[in-house]
Formats: sequence, structure tokens, C-alpha cells
Amino acid sequence: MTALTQRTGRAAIGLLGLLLAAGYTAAGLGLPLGSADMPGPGLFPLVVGPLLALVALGLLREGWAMRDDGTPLDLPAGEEARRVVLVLAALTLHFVAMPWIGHLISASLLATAVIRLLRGGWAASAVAGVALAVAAQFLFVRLLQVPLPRGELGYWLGM
Amino acid sequence: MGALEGLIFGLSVAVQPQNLMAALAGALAGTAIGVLPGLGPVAGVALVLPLTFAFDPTTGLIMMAGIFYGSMYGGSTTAILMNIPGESASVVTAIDGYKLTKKGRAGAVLAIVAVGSFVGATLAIVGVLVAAPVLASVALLFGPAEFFALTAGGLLVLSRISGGSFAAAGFSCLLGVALGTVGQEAVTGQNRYTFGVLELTEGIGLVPVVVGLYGIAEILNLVETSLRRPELVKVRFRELFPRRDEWARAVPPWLRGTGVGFFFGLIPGPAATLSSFASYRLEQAVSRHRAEIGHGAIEGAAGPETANNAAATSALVPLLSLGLPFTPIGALMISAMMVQGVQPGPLLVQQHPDIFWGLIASLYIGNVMLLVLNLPLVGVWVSLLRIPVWFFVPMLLIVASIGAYSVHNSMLDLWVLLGAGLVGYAFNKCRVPLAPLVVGLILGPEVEKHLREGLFLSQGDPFYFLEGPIAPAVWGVALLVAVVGALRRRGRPEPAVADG
Repeated sequence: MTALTQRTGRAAIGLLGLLLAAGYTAAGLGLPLGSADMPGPGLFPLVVGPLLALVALGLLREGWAMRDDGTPLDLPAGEEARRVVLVLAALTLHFVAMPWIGHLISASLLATAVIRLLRGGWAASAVAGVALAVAAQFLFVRLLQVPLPRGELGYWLGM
Repeated sequence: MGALEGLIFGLSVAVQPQNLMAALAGALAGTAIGVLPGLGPVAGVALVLPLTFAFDPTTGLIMMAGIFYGSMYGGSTTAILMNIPGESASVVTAIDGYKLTKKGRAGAVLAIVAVGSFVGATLAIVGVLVAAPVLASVALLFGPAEFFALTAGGLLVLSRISGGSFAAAGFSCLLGVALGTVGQEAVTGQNRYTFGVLELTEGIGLVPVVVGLYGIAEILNLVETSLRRPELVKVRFRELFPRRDEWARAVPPWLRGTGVGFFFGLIPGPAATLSSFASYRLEQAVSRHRAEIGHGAIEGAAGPETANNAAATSALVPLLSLGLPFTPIGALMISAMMVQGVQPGPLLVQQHPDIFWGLIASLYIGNVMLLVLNLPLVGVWVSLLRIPVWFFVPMLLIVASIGAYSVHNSMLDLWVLLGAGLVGYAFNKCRVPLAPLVVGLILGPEVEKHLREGLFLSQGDPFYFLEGPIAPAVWGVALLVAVVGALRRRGRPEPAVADG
């Protein structure tokens, strides 16, 4: 486990929140405010933005004033961190690839990669991954009639 | 239609074959979701939401409700047998329940908890039958001032009682409210925060946010921590009969748990989780066997499990009578109604009595099904934990992606899913509650609507929002909870986050 503590995490979220609130309020300034009896679409964001900044400042203050009792942030490290990052990377690539290669192939690759990561063995992972994706495709597309992206490759292959 | 006539009408709706099947499927799926780690009741209901659009609204809502209370049953099974709470409302059940398992009373405590869940839900249904139509008829008199007080005041209360610090819960809540302003604004059609992205004009979808926050974040946690297989416990059918003294000891906590749960279901907040903690504390304070609580007492498991089922049921009162969801599951049910063209609110009981009474009656039927099916099948449920993580994780990732995509057939929703997953993972690590974000996202637009309507009606007079007896009373209660909560917590450690 890393040495980061709850205090650091709270302050980091506060800081990011403050930046977000500033950006949100600034972007909301361009919206029509209307009048008191005919409020426009800009009024509510102008209330929410500063309130968001206020609570983000509260989080920053907590991070600043919190007694650092060493409670760890419980972030993954080493092999655990590697697994989390690789699963996130696989999911991201799944979303990037889906419009091009379609859901079936993309989900097969995602499942193969994740099973390989958690269990090992490329061949067995590929079999299990493809089986899982085909089962999901059958259940959702065939049985439940959920339309999923076929992708340009899917159209080209007639899948 | 009176309460009794309503219930009879509701039963006639609930026993229609498709609704019975929906209740059964929901209850079974919910139990599985409750048993399995990595997919709590909120993510489970969110994943099913797009599938319910294929059914009529009553059937879809019955299935969603079945998943919710099925997960309450399932969550307690692994908490008692293996000290692994399947969802957050069963965390306290594990304390005494697991100790009773170690003493060889696993079957008895499972039976007491199952009957207690049934008692809690059944008594709470009677309360819902009485309270919901009355509140709905009173709510017909509400104007923008009252609804503004209920929604904005509700968010204030939620931020105070969701656990974590007030700043953390408030930040989560306001982040949800801010996300709710993205998209085409309802009155003037003005695009807000869409940055030229066409798909954003429809706003940030509830389903990808909820599945990301609760599902993806929990999957990442699973990948990180639990590749170990838990040791499974066997329970024989003949062991499922408690002794006479155990039945006798269970009755008072059942009744107290029902009262606590019913109350928590009516107020804003993660009712199921909060009520189970409150019931445990109540048993520690008033039970005749309080000295044993924490060391394996029937009361420590019977009270909380009864309470969380009663709370899951009574949370339908504000949902059905006011159209206001104060929990993430409630937000999903409201969302399901709106997608199907059903307007939630005080008129629901008059305009859609089949939904209103059918849903309430199905709770009763679903609880009977769970009582009958769950105990004999306890071995089957526990064996679900044999499913290896390497199979479970990719399956959940695929189902989560399909669930998020299929609401609007939008690739943007997949990126929202991923973003929400990262936010949920970070919030879990930093003890920032997730429930206020979800409720803020769905109630934020309501707060804005009533604020603007009120200002329009009063020609810009802000004191309009404090007129009449109801709005000032609601604000008074909300501020009291906020201030008293702040004073009570001074100098104490931060309370645990309750996200159920």
C-alpha cells in the first residue's frame, strides 16, 4: 500500500472540486439570467456553482485541518495496481473499438484480456472470452432485442 | 378507492401471469445480486432498468422492486454464513449473525432473519397502504413553494445523514445537481454545458452514472482485492428450525426493527443501510439481552434485517405519493416511469392505479415468494460464491456496458459510465458518499423547476417560498437536522458512509 492518507485524498478531491466549480460557474455566466419574475436558464447554475465551490473549500479545509492519524487511502500498489490499471485500459479500448469492430468482437477481446489477466493462459482465456461474449450477444441481441453496435467490420462481414 | 379496495385491486394486478413472473424473476435475481460481491442492489436495479422498457410500466417496476428486496434477503445470507455482507445494509447483521454461525446456529439465525424480513416488509406494507394515498391527496394541495422545500430541504437532510463529513456529502450532492443542469433546458430550450456535443443535449443519463458509480467502481475493487475464494458453509434443511426460546427472543426486535425501518424509509437518505445501523443501536440500548449483542445474539441479527426490509418498503411512500425519490433505487424507479411516459407524483394514484396498487400488492407477493424459496435454496445461493472472479469480472463489465449503452443507444453513455466508475472508485477510497450524487442528479432539475415556477408565480418575491404552514415546517425540520447533526458530531470521529 502507498503512504497516501485520507487527509491527502480529501484535499485532492477538494482541490479538483474547486477547479470544477470555478469552470462550471464561469461557463454558466454566459447563459441568460432573466429577471427575478422571469428567471432564465442561467440563474440556477449561478446558485449551484458557488455552492459547489463552498463545499469543495470545506473538503480542502478538512484535508488541511484533519488530524493526520495515518489512516491510509488504501490505494492499490504493485500487482493490485497493475490489475486495476489494465482492466481500466481494456475497458477503454473496448469502448474505442466498439464503433469500428462491433460489440461482439470488441466484447470478446475485452473478456479474453481480462480473463488472461486474472487467470492466465492465452488459449483458455480466448475460448472463455469468446464464449462469454457470444452468450451475452445471444441473450441481449437475440432474446431481448437490445440493439448493439455492429461496427463497420460487422457490416462488412455481414455479422 | 380506499386502502382495502386498493389492495384488492392491486392483488388482481399483481397476480397477472406476467407480473407474477416479474416478481419471481426480480426476487431471484435480487437474491443472487445480494449474495454475490461486486454487484449491489443499486447497480443491479440499474442494469435491469433498460430491459424493463420491453415490458409495460407496472411489470417493469414490479421487477425492479423485486430485485431491491430480493437483494436485502440475499445480502444477509452471506453476511451470516461467511461474514461477507453482500450489500451495505447487511454489514451490521454480520456482527452477531456470523458469531451465531460459529456457535453452530447458522440455520436458526437464517430462518429468524428470513421470517423477520417478511414480518418487517408485511407490516410496512400496511403502513404504506395507509400513508401513501393520504399523503398523495395532501400533496395535491402543494404548490412550488412546498415542492421546493421538499426537494431542496430533502437534499440538505440527505447531505447531513448520508455518513462521511457534511462537506463530503454536500460536495457529492451538489456535483449531482450540477450534472443535472447539463443538456437542453426545459423552459427555453437553451443548451447548457453541452459544448457543441449533440448527444449531451439529452443530458447526463442516470443509468450510466449509477452503473458506473456502484457497478464499475465495485468491479475495480473486486479486481484489486478479492481473488481469494471464500470458504463455503453448508447448511442442512433440518437445521433451519430455531428453538422455541430463539423464536421468543426474535419477536421484540422484529417489531422494533419494523418501526425503525418504516421511519427511516420516509426520510431522505440511504434508508435500508441507515435503518439497519439504527436498529442495531436500538437493540444495544433496550434489548433484554443487550449484554450479549456483539457476541452472537439473535437480537443483533433479527432487528437490523427486519429494519432494512421495512425501510425498503416504506421508501415507496414519498416515491409513489410525491414522486420524489430520496434513494438511488427510488431515482431509478422514477426514471423508469418517466421513460415509459408515466408522470410520477400525487396524481399517480388516480391516473395509474394499476401501477400504484399493483406495485404495493406485488411487494407482499414477492416477500411470500422469498420466504418460501430462500430458505430451502440457501445452499444454492451460497454456492454462487463458487463462481470465480475471472469469470465474474468480464461478465459484469460486458453487462454494465450493454446496460449503459442500451438506454439511448449512445456511445457517449459508455464514456459517462467509465467516468462515473472512476469517480465512484475515488469517492469510495476517500469516504465520500455516492448516494447524494445520484439523488442530486435526479432531484436537481426538480429543485430548479420549482424554484423558477415559484419566482414566476410570485413575481420574483423570495418570501413566497416561506408562505403557508408546510414549506416553513419542512425547512424548519431540514435546518434542525443540519444544525443538530453538526453540533452532535463536534469532536467525534466521522461516521461511516451509508450508500445502500
